[in-house]
Amino acid sequence: MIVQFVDAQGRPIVDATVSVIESPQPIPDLGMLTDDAGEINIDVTAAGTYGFSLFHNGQTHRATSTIRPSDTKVRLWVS
Amino acid sequence: MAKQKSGHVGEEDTTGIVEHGDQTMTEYERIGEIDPNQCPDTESSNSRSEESGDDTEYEGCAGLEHDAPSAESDFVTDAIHGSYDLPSVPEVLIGADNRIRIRATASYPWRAICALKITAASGRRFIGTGWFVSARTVITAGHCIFMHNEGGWVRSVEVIPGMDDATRPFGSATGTAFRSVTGWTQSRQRENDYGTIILPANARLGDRTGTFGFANRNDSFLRAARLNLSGYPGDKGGNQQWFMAERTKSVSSRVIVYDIDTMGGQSGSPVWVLQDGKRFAVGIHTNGHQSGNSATRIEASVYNRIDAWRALGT
Repeated sequence: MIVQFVDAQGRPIVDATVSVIESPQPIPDLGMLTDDAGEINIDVTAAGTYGFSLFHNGQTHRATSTIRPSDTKVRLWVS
Repeated sequence: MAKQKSGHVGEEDTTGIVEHGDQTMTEYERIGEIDPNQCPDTESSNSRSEESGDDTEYEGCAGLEHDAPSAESDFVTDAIHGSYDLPSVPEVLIGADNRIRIRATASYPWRAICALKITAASGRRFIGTGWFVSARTVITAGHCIFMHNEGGWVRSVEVIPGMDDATRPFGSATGTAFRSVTGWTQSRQRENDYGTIILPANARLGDRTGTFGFANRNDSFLRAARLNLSGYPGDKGGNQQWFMAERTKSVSSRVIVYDIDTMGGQSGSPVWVLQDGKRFAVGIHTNGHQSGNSATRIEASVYNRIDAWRALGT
């Protein structure tokens, strides 16, 4: 499933380092870099709350979202 | 059936046999003849075999354990993650963040731990952690080198020992030869989530960094153990090494669970014990979860596989 990170103006946040910090079940502890569209691809096998840490320009942000396996894309705004 | 002592001292170029007494070492029986097609521990590789290297003798790193910072043996508690509703906010840690930044990354054992910059077959980029067990053999999580949702074997991994922000005290090398086991590459079994990067013949970085030992320890030892874990967490940017230690939370036949705080990017980190001045990895960090983070346990079959990979990179 695609998770896209955008800034307050809706622009993709590129080359940010993303970690999943909360999930309904154990997940691989990989760090993911956002691509040119500000996107990462995560494996969602269970519905629930997913938390993300995003490191960009020397600052770490965190966000959560409720995601279901049937979702295909989630967009998160980073203020 | 033949029995052997299980435990490899990484700082020495030994046969892999260590005699420390039964109270600290686990005996195990060798695996008998098994159809490799039926065994999840069967080796799997991306077939990009590398030369075995020149004849340079590995001089080892005896005595380097004295360089280890005292922080390693400190007992520290778990950090607590916060989570926030959208929109996201700058990081706020609830409670104490007990992770320790390692700044002396040019010293052993920290220099034997590597930041991994991974490019998947799909072109997506990831970060992870690995650790040397010989001059060219870097142990990591299986999912750092074989990604089921990103095209299988990764395209390449840049290995950067002791990275500290922009500082690369030992340079870096890019690996394209990978090995894991079919229990991971074909069956995607969590307990078989481990693998290795075999660096090119001219990239003997482990000669300069030193190596970790690794060992198969029994349940009672692990349950009482103070575990050390150090790697490159993504919430710190993935270019800084951070360390934490905690006691074991639980142990099963193939997995070790602990409350050491980890983040994405620390997959593949060594989970080690310090014993008699020697460092033995007993697990390979792979998974994160609020109920406990976990490692693939170095039990008999994992030990044997790592030892074979170690020999490939000598």
